[in-house]
Amino acid sequence: MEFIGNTIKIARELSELDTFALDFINILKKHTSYAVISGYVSILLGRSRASEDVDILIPKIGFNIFQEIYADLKKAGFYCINAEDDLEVYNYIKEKLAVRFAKNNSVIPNIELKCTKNKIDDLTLSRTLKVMLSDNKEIIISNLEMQIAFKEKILKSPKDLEDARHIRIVAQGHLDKELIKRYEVMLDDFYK
Amino acid sequence: MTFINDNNAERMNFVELWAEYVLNHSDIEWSVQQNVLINSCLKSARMTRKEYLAMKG
Repeated sequence: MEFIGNTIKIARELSELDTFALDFINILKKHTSYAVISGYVSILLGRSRASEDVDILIPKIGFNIFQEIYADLKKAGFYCINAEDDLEVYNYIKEKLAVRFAKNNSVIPNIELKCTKNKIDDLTLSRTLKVMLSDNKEIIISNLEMQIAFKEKILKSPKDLEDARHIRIVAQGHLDKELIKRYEVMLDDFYK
Repeated sequence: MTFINDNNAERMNFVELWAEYVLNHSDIEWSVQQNVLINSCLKSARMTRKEYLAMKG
């Protein structure tokens, strides 16, 4: 694992979860910016656990863009677990709810897709890192400082604290500890 | 509470041990082992859409 500026190079063997996430992301990125957030970030960086879903944050999008994304996803063999009709699925997102997409005839693994809904989400989406995998495959993730602050300050479950600890160790020497503290203050203030 | 605290501490110890392993070994070495866990978990997690949505509330 190599940290070069805003890029992390990982010459890892891809898991089925990585391949699934990349299939989805390769469609999504044609239409909108995005950032992978939460547990899959630590898994991508080597955490010894699995997850049934990959959380992805996107900016607010209009119905037309959503229709294009959903049409491409369907062509690639994805379906929405929550609803089927384009407008119904879009309304979930518009109402700030997450929607889940899986490959046809399955529910696990799935993508939990959500639009930004507050200033913390906007900040998360504006400060990202690129993870370069083998064969020029890439995944955009939230910056690690925000992931650590959110897991340690807001979520705080044993699993989240373990995720944060893993990131702190594998990214040691590449983290802005003052930024983590500033995020913690900001999150504390926002969610209190 | 002691059991839960002890269990969480044990888990955290392993998380730290594994993260050090990731830090000090090649990406291929750790990812091959990680994938045994991830791929087997995904294979064993079979449920219907209805069951999944009910689980997620």
